[in-house]
Amino acid sequence: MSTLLEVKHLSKFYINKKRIFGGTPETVKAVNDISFHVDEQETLGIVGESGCGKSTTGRAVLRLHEPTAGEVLFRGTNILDLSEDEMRPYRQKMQMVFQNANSCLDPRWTVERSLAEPILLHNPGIGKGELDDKIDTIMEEVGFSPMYKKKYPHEFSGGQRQRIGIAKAISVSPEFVVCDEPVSALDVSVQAQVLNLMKRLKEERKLSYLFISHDLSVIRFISDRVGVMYAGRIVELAETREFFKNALHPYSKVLMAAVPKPVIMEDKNALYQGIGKISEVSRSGCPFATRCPHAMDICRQQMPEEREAAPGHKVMCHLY
Amino acid sequence: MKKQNNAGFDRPSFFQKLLRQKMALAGGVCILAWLVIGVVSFFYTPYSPTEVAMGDKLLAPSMAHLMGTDNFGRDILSRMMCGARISLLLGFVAVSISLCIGIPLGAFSGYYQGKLSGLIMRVMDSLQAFPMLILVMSISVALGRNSFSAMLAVGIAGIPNFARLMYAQTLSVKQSAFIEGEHAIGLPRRQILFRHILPNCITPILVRLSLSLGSAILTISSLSFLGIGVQPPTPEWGYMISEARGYILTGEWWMIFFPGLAIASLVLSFNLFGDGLRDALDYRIQ
Repeated sequence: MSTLLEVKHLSKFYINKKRIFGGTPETVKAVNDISFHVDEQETLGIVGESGCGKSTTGRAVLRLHEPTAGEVLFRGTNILDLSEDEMRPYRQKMQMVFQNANSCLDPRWTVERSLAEPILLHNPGIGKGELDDKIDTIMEEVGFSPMYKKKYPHEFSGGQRQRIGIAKAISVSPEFVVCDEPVSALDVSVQAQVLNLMKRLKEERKLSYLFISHDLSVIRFISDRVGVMYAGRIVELAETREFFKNALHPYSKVLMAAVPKPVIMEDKNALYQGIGKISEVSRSGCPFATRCPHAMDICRQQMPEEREAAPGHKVMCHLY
Repeated sequence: MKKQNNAGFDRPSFFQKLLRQKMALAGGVCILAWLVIGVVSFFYTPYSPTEVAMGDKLLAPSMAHLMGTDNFGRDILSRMMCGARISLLLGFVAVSISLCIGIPLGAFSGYYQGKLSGLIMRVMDSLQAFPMLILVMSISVALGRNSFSAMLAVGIAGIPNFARLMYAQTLSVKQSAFIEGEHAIGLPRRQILFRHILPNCITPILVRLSLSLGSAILTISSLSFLGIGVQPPTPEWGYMISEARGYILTGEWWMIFFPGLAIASLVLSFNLFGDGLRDALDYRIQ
């Protein structure tokens, strides 16, 4: 299977310049030199705690937030070099599903109008009849009767609205979809419904997903490969099965242990031992060093290199 | 029963929603009535509004003169009718001036934030720092004492109101989540502004528009009262009140009562209508 999207050394820094009393400008390294790739018809899950930079990664890949450095290659073309107009054909190929479906629906517009907009933008010559057919098909594809297209976004429930959001994303037949916590705002029964829909659409439309979530069980269900992010870096990247069987990075282990399970874990406490405050991120060394139970001297001084612990299983840790 | 069958697919139109607001309806009817009176005054008034008849001066309301006559013997009803068209016309034009300049300035500054937009908004701030009436009076006097300059002055003084409101609205809609989605589908920035941001700003603007009409009419009348705005012998409500000042204590109450009532009713109507408009335009209220 060939590579659809390749991200090389992507960084996104936010610089807080405006200091009234002349303090030093503060740089927030939301995403710090990360590299990964997504194959055709593959789902790469990105998991991590709040503020680790996973949403920023998703937005930087689509240039909704302009990256500070790095390359984003879509089928070999670096989209960061393109102007807004040159970028437009790629926008059709790369779509986004938002955490809150309100994010993509104009509250004053009926669903029909919201769905028609991207189709008209990317197929300017489309006829009225063809457009109607296309909208009806997409509505049915996400499980609505076409007559619901006359409704307004606020007349739908959260789960329904998320399905409309998915409909809008797939309406222009993309190949790659960034899903930014698409089910986090939904209750569990609706989560399953939406996740199954997304899995089905992936098969039917041969999509690739970059699936961002903080929920390991969601990631396990939907992903082919899993990347773990911590403080703006991808600290571990592996096949889903391999990752859940054999997570290597101490942070991944903590993340796994944090999932409530009906089985009593033997030495859960040992994992948490010595864990510091979340706000303490080591400046020079491994970002997790301040919280890591296995931290050694070298961890605080030197950023670990990416190592391949097993074929396809990459980890950034001095332990391996 | 009908409601159940069509649940969610049948929603009241804008006019149905507006009709349900009793106070707004009353306001709307009153505005409409004044508009009709203003139009009628072009073709018909019981007497000439400007012809002096000293023999008939200061007559109390009677069958011949329903609202009495003033100190020059002119029929107050006829003057009131002509006053309606002048107040409404000047008010509408003045607010249109504020609207047509204020909205583009505000929308531009809010959407494309930069040095130029900062400058525009600071100019608006400084305009707003002046007391309204003082500002209007100085512009009006500078341009010459006539109704046109009064109208222009009220229009110019109203620009910051619309510019600031539009600026704030544009900023808030621009931040709202769905705009990011529009960027994601690749909609050009200009189209995002015109198709999504402006329509989502329109409700408070319309409400403000109707309230501004009321206050513009009031300000123009105030100017005429002070002798700066509409010049005699053109009948204008504010000037009529000014002329009637001297006759309150001597018992000729009709001279001040009817123009005062007219101004109050028109301004109140615009305010009531504006409130109703807000609810009728809210797509969430059914």
